[in-house]
Amino acid sequence: MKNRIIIALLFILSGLLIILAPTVLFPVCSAEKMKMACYYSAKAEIGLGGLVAALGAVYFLLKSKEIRIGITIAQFFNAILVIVYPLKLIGLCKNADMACRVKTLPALIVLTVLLGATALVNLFFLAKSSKTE
Amino acid sequence: MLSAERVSKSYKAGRRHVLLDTDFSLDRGEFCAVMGESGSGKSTLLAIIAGILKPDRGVVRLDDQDLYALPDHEMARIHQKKIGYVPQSNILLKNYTVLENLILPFLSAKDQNEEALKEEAVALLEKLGVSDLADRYPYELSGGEQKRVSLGRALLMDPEIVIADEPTTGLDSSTGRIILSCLAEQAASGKSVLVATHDDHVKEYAGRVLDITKI
Amino acid sequence: MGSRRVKNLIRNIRSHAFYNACLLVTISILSVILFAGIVVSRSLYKGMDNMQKRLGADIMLVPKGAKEKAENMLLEGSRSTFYFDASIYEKVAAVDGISEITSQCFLKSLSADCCSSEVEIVFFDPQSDFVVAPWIETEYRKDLSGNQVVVGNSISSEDGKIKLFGQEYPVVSKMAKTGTALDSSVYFTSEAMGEILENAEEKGSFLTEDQKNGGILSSIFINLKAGEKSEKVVESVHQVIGDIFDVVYPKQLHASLSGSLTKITGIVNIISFVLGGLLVLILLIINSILMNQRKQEVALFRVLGRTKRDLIRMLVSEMGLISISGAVIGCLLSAVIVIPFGAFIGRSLNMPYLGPGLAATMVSFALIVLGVFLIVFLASIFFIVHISSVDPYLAMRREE
Repeated sequence: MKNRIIIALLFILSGLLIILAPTVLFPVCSAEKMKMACYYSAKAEIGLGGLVAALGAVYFLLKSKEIRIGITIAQFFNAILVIVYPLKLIGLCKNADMACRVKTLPALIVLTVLLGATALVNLFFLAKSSKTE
Repeated sequence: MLSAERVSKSYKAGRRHVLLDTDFSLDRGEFCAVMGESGSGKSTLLAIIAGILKPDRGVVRLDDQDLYALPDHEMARIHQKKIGYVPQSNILLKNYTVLENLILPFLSAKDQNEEALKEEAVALLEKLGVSDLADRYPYELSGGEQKRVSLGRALLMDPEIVIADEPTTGLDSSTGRIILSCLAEQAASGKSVLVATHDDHVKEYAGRVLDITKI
Repeated sequence: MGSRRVKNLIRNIRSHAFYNACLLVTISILSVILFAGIVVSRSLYKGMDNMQKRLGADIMLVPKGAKEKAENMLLEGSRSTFYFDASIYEKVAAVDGISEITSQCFLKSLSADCCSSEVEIVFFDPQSDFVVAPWIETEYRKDLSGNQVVVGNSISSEDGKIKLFGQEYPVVSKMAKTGTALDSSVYFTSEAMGEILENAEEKGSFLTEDQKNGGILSSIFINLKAGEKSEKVVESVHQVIGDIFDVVYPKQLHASLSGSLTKITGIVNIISFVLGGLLVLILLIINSILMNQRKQEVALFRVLGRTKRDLIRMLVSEMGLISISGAVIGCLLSAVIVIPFGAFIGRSLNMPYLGPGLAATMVSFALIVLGVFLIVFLASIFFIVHISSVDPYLAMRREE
């Protein structure tokens, strides 16, 4: 029960931070004059962050260990997607001095690592406790 | 075989004298019980003789060797192979099973074979009537069961001398008898047994019963 | 170490999970602070070293009213344009006391690659330049000709070309990162100026007649002869060309920046020291509680025939495992934050900032892990030796 609450909270928090990072906390370049790649990356992160948070809520509600393992695996791949969107799939501004590269990208890197590490550690403990059962 | 010559010990920076110029000796194959009131120095005497409490004055000899003059590794070897000590409180490692509690302290020795040790440990637990608890953890055991495990651990390396501090305190009489019988068996097989107790039942097993105040 | 030994080590650690977790967290926080402090300090100093390349002249003459723009451009890399008439160059060159003189011209551009971002274009004379030319030569030894361009590290180029004012120019070299304003500029020789100004005008850039004729320059860099006073030379230039210029002293800028850097790193060091000291104190407290808890267990092992050395080794191994794990976790956490955010940190501090390379990072990592292990070892060795040496009987009785 304790594990479920803590991990669910971590997932939900990660999801919210993924939404807030490119929009509020470390916003991408202004889209006033022109919508650039980073604008669309930010939109994608909003969707992805929502998914991560929603899966966190589902994680809390479901007791089944197998389902929770599945959700955790999904969150691990979501973590990878957090960084793949801006780096490969959609992109950011090319110039290294731009706000999206100076602020937003590092924030997304940190969130990728935190979410990914949480998922991996949780997977390890869930697998271990499944084995002992 | 084991003797204490004019040993003295005090606590609280000399303000409380527990033993003063006390002499004691234990022969091979003897079962000796030391009795007395609480705080009379029984446990202190046993600890000094067992080599785990250095006296303020006096000498403890084991086979003519001054025990407290030996280097640490020699002392450790004696504790491992020659003297088995059962403390008053049941100190068991809480994260290890009963079987592991018995064998773990001895696994570091180079000449120890883990499988052989395990076999001996299981045999001992059977003798003490707790073999079904081998995979349990200390917190799952009753006080009497823990005491039997503690005794088993002291006997595992087949020591020549067994020293037990209040081995039956707090136990029901049948468990107490199991413990005392086991100790008597050790004495019968040629081991020296020294016990501190205020359990009168020990008189049925011990060959020599001493009053601590008269030593 | 045998796997059974490691398993037992971990089990021993778990048997006092709470206190060991507190130790682990404390050690991790200490490592985070140390790693971040070292990386940030090193990066600031590295950036500062590189800054000197941009500030390699005794005197920089800029048009009147452009002093602040010029200083911001040098220090922060902000894009600016300001112009002199090119004819003053020869007049200034004739002034006594000058050992080296060169001019540069700056132009702002919208780079199509970067969409709405601006790129600073620097035109320099490769024959006389002593400010950027030596820096460029460290990576591109051939002569820059015609419309070839060298770009700073922050400038992106596709297929080895950069588009300026609708025209593509071949990029012959991308410079290594310096953490300074050099990174955000592109460098042409003055030969290319005419063509680029024409293209700029075609694309709608407003240019004066002088600019269109190419008779402009943005700044004159001067190195003085040994023993010459800068005020005297400036006064002589005044007399020759009149009061049409401002003076920037790049080396003074560097000195004041160095002063700021010293203050910043001083603050970083003080914070690290104070926090580090607090954490070591916490470590000592947790250690003493933990060792007290282990006293009975250690006494039991002694009674059962383990040597003091064995027990000390066991306890030191446990401490070692916790301290190394904590240090690794702390350094990784710190690295994940401090390294990606490097440019942001530099910008926030308004200082040149060049993040460490992989080798330097690994060295810092290793040093901190070792350092933290030593700190923890020193903080615990007294307790370890003490509980291994106390009369076992007394240690067992105290717990009852």
